[in-house]
Amino acid sequence: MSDLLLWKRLKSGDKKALETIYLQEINFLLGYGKKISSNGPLVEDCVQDLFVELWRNREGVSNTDSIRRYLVVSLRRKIIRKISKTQKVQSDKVPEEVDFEAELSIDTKLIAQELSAEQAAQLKEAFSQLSSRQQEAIYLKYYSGMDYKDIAEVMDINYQSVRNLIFNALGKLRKYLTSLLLIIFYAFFS
Amino acid sequence: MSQDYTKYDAVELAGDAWFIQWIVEGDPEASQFWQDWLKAHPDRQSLVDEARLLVKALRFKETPAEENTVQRLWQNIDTLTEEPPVTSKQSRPGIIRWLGYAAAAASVALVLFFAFGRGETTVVAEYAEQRTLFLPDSSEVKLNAGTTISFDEKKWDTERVVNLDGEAFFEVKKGQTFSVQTNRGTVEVLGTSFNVNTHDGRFDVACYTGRVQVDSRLKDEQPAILNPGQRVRLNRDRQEMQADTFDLQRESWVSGSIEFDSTALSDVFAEMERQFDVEIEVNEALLVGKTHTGFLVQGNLDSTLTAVSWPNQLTYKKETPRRIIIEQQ
Repeated sequence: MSDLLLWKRLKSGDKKALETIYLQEINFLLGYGKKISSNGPLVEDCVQDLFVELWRNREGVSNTDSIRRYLVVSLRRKIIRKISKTQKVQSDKVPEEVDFEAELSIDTKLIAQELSAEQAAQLKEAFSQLSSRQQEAIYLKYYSGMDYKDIAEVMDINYQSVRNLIFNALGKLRKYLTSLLLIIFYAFFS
Repeated sequence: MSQDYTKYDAVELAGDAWFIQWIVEGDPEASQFWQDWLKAHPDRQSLVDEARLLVKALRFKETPAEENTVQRLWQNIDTLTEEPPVTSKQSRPGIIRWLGYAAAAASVALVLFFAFGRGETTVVAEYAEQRTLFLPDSSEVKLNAGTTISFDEKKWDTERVVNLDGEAFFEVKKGQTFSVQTNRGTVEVLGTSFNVNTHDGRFDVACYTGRVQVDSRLKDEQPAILNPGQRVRLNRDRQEMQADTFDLQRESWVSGSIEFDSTALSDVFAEMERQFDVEIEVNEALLVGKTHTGFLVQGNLDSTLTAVSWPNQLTYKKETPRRIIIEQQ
């Protein structure tokens, strides 16, 4: 079912639509949330609130062509708000900053065929050196398959900033690869 | 693709959605495009290799949520969103009630299946319901209203087989042969998207991407091979498959648009029964030779009834909100 249709069902009060959305997105939402905050119970609370509020406000929510984007935008805000509440930070701290932290997991097949274990470790290290925002943008693009427009909305920055974040990050990672590629010779896969 | 990729460097390629589609999704169309492009620009091979390795390396360490966390959270959400029942449901014919129970059981079965991962799984899309499910290899199936599908998870690794009764749209992940078995024939593919409809005794198969092999149960009929935009139909009273083409850009039920194209009126009413979960009573004699062309108005039973009835000199009345009688004007 398309997102639009599923959303329509939800808005018309179909509880099964809520359950479908939940089952489709729960793994991603928990995974993403736990990269913003290592406080698991806090993230789970936010996810729970997110779905309860979605149901209670279903008639008022705007239409969306991407349910995931809608949910991620709200979840991100909720987590940030909750963290700043628990930490009782001063109000002048930029509220949209998060400490996003992800870890690359390089496919063992790729390691066997095209990279040595050591090279894979170097690449992972290079990724961990990227800024929190670069990591988040890369994660949303390559893991979740979001486009630049969606990522801009989630991270609350403009389109061009997203592109810059991603291209700068790719450029840094590529430097590691270029030196690796010089010594690797492999057949092109089918 | 209108972009001039010869101007791209490795980083730009690695950031390009169409390129990622090829590397990550293995999309057949993208794959064809990039292989052709490489043939035309052999000097870009090393750039492409670099970009490819970069994209392939961008996998993330993910620990799937624990099943009991997923269940616990859902129970909380379910409890917190409970609402008093508005009105008791209209009494329904036995089979539909049974379908309702089956659907409820299927939801449970689905959860159990994810928790324990074994045995035969059956999923039902009730009347007035469409649902999406993922098979063990994460191939996606969308079920249209009034459809049952089953598969054996235990045997999935050795044979990808589903049994279908009704209508479903498949997006199959690449891999070994994937087959859809129905009463009137079998559809076999390797990895592609296609629609199968067995409602009301028909057997219609339409191919959207990749290649599809259709084997009817008819003795004298050779299997048909379909390319994107081609379909075959085996009507209930026909003993041979009919092939024709369709417009791939056209909306289908999957995107929320149900269309009738000179469809027999009896089939139109049957589809309406499934989509709106109603009973439509009509004297067969009134339907002979009549067809309907047009869209089913989503969520609006009355508009659809009027649109179908008027041009055919018919009229309708509602005996109860769920029981409709069709009569001569």
